[in-house]
Amino acid sequence: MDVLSGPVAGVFRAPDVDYHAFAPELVLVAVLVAVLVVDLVLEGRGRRLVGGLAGIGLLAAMVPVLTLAVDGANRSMVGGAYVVDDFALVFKGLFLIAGYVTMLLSSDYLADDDYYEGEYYFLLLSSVLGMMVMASSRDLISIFVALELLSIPAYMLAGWRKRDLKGNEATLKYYLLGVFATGVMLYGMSLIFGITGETVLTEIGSKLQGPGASLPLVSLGIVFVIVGFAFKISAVPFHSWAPDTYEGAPTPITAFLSVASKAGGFVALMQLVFIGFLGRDDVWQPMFWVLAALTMTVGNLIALRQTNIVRMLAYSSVAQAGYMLLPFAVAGDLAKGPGAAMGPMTTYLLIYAAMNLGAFALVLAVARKTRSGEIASYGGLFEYAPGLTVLMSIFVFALAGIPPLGGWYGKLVVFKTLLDANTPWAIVLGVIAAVNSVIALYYYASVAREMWMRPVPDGDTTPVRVPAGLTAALSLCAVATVVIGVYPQVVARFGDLAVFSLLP
Amino acid sequence: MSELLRAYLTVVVFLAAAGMLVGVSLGMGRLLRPKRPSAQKAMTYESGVDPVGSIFGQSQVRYYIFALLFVMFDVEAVFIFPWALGLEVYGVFGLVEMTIFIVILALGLLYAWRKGVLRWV
Amino acid sequence: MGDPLQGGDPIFIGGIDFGVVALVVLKVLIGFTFVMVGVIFMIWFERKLIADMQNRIGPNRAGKWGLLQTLADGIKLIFKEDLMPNKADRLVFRLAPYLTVAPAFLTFTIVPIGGLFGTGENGTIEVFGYRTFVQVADPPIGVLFLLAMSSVAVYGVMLAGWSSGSKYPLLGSVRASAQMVSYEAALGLSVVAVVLLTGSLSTHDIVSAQSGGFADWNIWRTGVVPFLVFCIAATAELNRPPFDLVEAEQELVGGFHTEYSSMRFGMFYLAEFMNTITMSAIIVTLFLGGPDGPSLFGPDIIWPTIWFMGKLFIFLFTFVWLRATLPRFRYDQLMDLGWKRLIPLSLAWLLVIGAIRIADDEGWNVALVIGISLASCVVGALALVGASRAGRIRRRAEEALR
Repeated sequence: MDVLSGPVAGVFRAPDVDYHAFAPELVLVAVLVAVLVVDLVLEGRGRRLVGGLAGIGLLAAMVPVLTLAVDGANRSMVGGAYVVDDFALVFKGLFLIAGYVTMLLSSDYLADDDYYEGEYYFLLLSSVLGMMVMASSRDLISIFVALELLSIPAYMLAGWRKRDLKGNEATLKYYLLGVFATGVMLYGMSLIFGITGETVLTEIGSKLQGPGASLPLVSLGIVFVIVGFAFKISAVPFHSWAPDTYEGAPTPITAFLSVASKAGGFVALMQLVFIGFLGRDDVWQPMFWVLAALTMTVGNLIALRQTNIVRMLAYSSVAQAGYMLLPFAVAGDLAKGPGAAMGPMTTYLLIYAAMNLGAFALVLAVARKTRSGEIASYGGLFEYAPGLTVLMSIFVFALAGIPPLGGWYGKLVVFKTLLDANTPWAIVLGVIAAVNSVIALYYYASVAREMWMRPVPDGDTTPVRVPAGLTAALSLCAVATVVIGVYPQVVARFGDLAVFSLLP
Repeated sequence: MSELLRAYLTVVVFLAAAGMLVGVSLGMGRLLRPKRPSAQKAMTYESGVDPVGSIFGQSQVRYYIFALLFVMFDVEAVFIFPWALGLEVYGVFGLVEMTIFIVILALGLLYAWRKGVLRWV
Repeated sequence: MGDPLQGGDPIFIGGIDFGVVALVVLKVLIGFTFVMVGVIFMIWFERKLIADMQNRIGPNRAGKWGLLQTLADGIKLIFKEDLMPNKADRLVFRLAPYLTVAPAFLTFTIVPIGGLFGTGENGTIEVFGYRTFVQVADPPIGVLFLLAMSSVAVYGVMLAGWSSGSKYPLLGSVRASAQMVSYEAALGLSVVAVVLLTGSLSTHDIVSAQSGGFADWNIWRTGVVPFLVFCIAATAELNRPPFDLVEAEQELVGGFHTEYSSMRFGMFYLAEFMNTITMSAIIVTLFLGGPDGPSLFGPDIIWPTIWFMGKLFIFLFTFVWLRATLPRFRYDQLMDLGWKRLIPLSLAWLLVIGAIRIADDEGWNVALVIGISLASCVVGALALVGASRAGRIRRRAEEALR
């Protein structure tokens, strides 16, 4: 029998695989499998080994990212669906480091209670893998696959505390809303695919600049896709899952969700908007304007009233997402072209990652002694843990955007973008953002006031013992936050890198 | 009728024949058989005693888990069949890809096995 | 053969006219009769053979040697009162028999029951000036059709049990569904081996690829293992002994059809035997060359059908033999066999066959490839056995501690 007579008749050519470009993902997959197998063989007895393996794996995946960065060439595979360029590499680096910091936060957290560990690391690595793929995906299908790969493990991680009711609520809300948003997004993608007949973003981009791009269905598709990712980045009004999920999930996972998962959403949005939907800024620009204004305002106002530190940080991260959305809202009006909005966003994301991971690491450290998430329990922290107090002050003031610390530079570049656009709408948005920054300062400062000026609530002033992993994570984040604040050129360089390579 | 659908013409006729067989024999029974309903006859069978409790109760969760595992392998078949059809077309590349795919799936099965999911008691 | 995507049956090449329709109806009638006569025979045969094996007489009143026993049963069932429990879901309760019988019938359409293969005729015969295959239909997705139908059969069983609104049938049906889906995975994976060798899903192509004589049968070419896996999985899929836990009388009364009576029950009974015949026919088709065999004397055209029936009969006999011989499995043994033995085995075998074919194609050292792949299979199997043994020992130790 002639095999060619089967339904696959025709010439098949194996795709050229650039193994160097795939190396970070391949390393991660290998480590992922190894983690699973080792855990299975040892049946949960090799806790340290599995965690160590996963951590080493994340660092090992960093090596090819660096070699690719040194090499500097843009590598495009599978007909432009998978691209490794500077943009992708910057974010791959971010995801790997965020994953590693999460790993540092988790090791002692997990050891304290009777959790499954092997699966935890396995799922965490899978989620990071999904983000890595997301950074390179320039195609609707691979974006969708990457999104699922990063989300599904995250759903499970959010409910890791199986017997904890809040954990169950966290994971269920996250899962149901997430699946719903994915459905909406998929519907949008199918509309766009139906009209353009393409899945590769560059092709969609050129089709959407030609005739027929102004069809209402295209607008509907774009709106649906953006709504899907607005959920992922917890933009108001799609944020309702965030506080409950952040509170109920294990704190290291909360840190991971609020940084890496959010960055994953932003990466996808940037790729979609600046490559695929570039020609339709009349649709997405107003939409992002509304999203950004709502997200900042609602996030900050609700954060004011929070008494639980994790919930406060959750709403603060919602508000931060609002700042990051600002450049989207004015991208079409920039003199240097819409792509100029990407640099500020990337810069802000990198800075945000450092300070937010740090804040959550500190919450973990303090909770080891106080066993509480209330802001009131931070009273008098300075008396028995002066180091932690200083660090926490660094992180909250960085989040608020006080100059010598990291956050101010992020805010600066974002505001500068608004001023560059110089349209009435941009100015209005700038005013809203400025007012919000002032509101935010109030609740960030109240944490500091609690730590420095209030008495210890229960009078227990035994020092907090911080394990090595947590110390490492804390110092990493603190150093990054301070250094970025003093030498903002470091991240500015990354932000610039991320812009130029992506634009067609 | 399109070329593709023609191949199923016979299948559809055969389906009709099968449907008719069931329909006719049930219909014939309806005409011929006695019908003397009573409350006892309409009761569900429970070894001779009156039925107790709700009928649509819960059954063991393991059935569900096996159904999930089945979905995994059924979806796998969706990928394996096209490869099997074009084995020589896809050549070494296909073989390597499929080996990786199957090994990763087998890992899933191994995971379920080691975690005792496949253990029935 | 035409374009494989269009299905091979040459009857449709010239378009559809009255003659084609008449021929289609004729084919359907023949197929229908074949199955029905087969079922009537099979029910009698099973009862008689079991009786013989158990030193009983078995049916001997209706007709010579009780040959008409099945008809007598049927007539009796028609005259029985039909009961429907008051808690039943009435629509689904009525629908379930159709869902059970239809797939049993439809699977038979893809079985070639005659025709000379390996000659210029390639399994076709000429009727009224039309050339056609000696099988009811040859859809291009052949093997997938088989898998689809066996999936639909699960619905029949599941809905029958669920809609009865009674406890035993519900238990029986969840058991049956879990068992059937479990073995369907193994069934599908062992069929892939055949598809790998043939490069086509159509059963006609599969048979004509085996037409080179005894040594060309897929049972040898696939290396026996897929055949064995398929037979075991098929037995389980049919819910036949030793896998008849679905109807374990001691635990579940009658299983999923406890609440069914009269001809509705008859339909389930019918479908069960029909499935046995169909599945045996599928095994013959996929692995034993279908109607392939030498012509001994007389006209050539009758021999393929005779060979087909002969092979079919062997399997029917074996099924009854198994029932008379083997005790029933325990449910955990059943699931273990399916998931821990058959599925890994057929997955590994699949890769081995694929590797050998590719090696052959690329001009590698085939012996070396076979050696390496078999060795890695053995290593994998040993690792699995070791792992499960270690786990068992550890569990025992934990239980002892408690």
